[in-house]
Amino acid sequence: MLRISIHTIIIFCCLYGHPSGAQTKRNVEIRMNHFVGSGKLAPGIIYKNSLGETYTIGRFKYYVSGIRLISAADNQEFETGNQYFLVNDDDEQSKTISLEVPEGNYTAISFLLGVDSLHNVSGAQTGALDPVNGMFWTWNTGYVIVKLEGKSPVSTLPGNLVEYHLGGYKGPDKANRRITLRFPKDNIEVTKKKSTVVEVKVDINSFFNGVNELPIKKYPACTTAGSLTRQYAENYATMFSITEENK
Amino acid sequence: MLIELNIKWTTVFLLVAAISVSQRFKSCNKNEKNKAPALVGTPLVQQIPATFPSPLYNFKDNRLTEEGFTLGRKLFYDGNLSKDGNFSCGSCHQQYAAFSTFDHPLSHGFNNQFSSRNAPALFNEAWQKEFNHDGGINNIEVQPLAPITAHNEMAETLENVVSKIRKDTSYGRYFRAAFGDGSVNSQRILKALAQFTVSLVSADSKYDKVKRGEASFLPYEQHGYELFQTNCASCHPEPMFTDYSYRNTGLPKDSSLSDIGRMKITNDAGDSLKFKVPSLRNVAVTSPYMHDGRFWFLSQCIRHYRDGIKDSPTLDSSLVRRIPLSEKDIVEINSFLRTLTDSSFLKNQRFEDPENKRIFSPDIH
Repeated sequence: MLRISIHTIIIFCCLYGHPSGAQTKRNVEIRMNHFVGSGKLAPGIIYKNSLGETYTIGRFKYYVSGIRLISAADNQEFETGNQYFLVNDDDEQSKTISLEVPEGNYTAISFLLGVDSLHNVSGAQTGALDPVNGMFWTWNTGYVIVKLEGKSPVSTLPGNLVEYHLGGYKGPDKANRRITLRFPKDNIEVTKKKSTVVEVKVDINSFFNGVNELPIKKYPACTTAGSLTRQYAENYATMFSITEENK
Repeated sequence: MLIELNIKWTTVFLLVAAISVSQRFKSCNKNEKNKAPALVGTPLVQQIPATFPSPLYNFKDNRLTEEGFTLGRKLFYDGNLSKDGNFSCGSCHQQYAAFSTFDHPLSHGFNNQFSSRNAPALFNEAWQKEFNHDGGINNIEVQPLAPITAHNEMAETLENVVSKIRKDTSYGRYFRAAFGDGSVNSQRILKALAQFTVSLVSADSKYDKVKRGEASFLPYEQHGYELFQTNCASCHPEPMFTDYSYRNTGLPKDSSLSDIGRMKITNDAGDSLKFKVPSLRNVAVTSPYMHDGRFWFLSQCIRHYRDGIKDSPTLDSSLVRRIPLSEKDIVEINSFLRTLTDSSFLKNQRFEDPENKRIFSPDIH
């Protein structure tokens, strides 16, 4: 009789025991909400940064990749797959990132702002990384991580242009940043009962004054990798915060 | 009773296990089917000359096929890759000049403009770590984006190139043959171009034949070879005839071009006026010389290392003392360099414009 029960256990395991990779996955949406301070980003509106400079925004695009969720149970990071997303303020759809995540409780979300160095050296890519998307330097290979363009009366450039094409993947010029955001109130629970939405606030004010004060008047443009881009990278890493989740 | 039951349960267990395994395999196969690229076309083997090291580009992610090569060649010679239709890749990279621009210090580009640098010859690209005179491009597949989008070269956007190729009905069958379906995107265009350019392998010069024991140098070529090994090979080592490094060879800066070379890429003042060491293979047909095409004759280039070098903080250490050469040495080195011309490469019909718009080809050696 003992033998029978051992076999029963084996069969039970075989039928019901899923390997961890085969857990039921549910959809999680990450919504990027673009703001300047407390005002929603919209074309043509005149904003003032915390340094007192006025400006308008024409274009705002950036890469998000390597998204992970951190499990409440064991602090393990769940990689959501090797996906690259180009978020473009002009394109509503691009501002919602849809992921498949195993059911469970999570304490934080983390993502790479930018593109990993491997994909900067791997030749012709497609999808979000297609150079046709205008986020690729043709004369000095590499992806632009953040593109912010607009106008400001304090810019000394022709047409009062303001233009930041920020990137770099080599050694000290590396400008991608891993950003980890903890869910502020409770952990989020990914279940079949309700769809999970994570609302991320992206505040362009921090771009000019997140860690370093970078006045438009002094730096109306930055379009090459290097030390100035590094200062912007320190700033843009602080643009992101979680406002509310699990609506 | 116990035994009977035991057998029964074991059978059930085996059955369940078998079903679960087979289902798992099924799902694996399904995934693989979705992921694996369609294997179409006639596979080609990458040409790697016996004396060459392992290539850096090996078609791992770009399956080399006859059909992919053929599409790449069509694209290479298609003027529609430029804004006004006049400038194909092949307009500045001419086969009879080892895919450099014959007889032009700077090449002609859109709207009567000149390129900023002398068009480099194209061959043995799979052994290059970086591309362009300043090494700004890190992969052959994305190199065409630089000339396509440069305002003074092809002056086009990648978006327009893709849309023009999509509309050109002559391409449908080429894309289907190379990739299995007719859809056109930038990745397919760039990978096909790389199949063509990486296939431009040159290793059949008189020098190569001498090394293979199929020919022998004339006495002055042999002297030139020995002088070359002593005086030039530290930067132009065999068999590639370049070490792919960046060096300031003491060329006085041209004030109208103000080209800082490698420093443009690295922002490092230590890289000011440094340019990539070019291969000397086929050098006799790639005149004019240097990154800006300032010298018309090979002898001028060699003489520069004797008495033309201008001192500057980044001058290459190997040139501080200049290269002491007699006029006879210069003639003999020059003779050796002419043994590096690979005529079968220059005349290989596989690399010609498929529409065969024959252009007068000066009969050079």
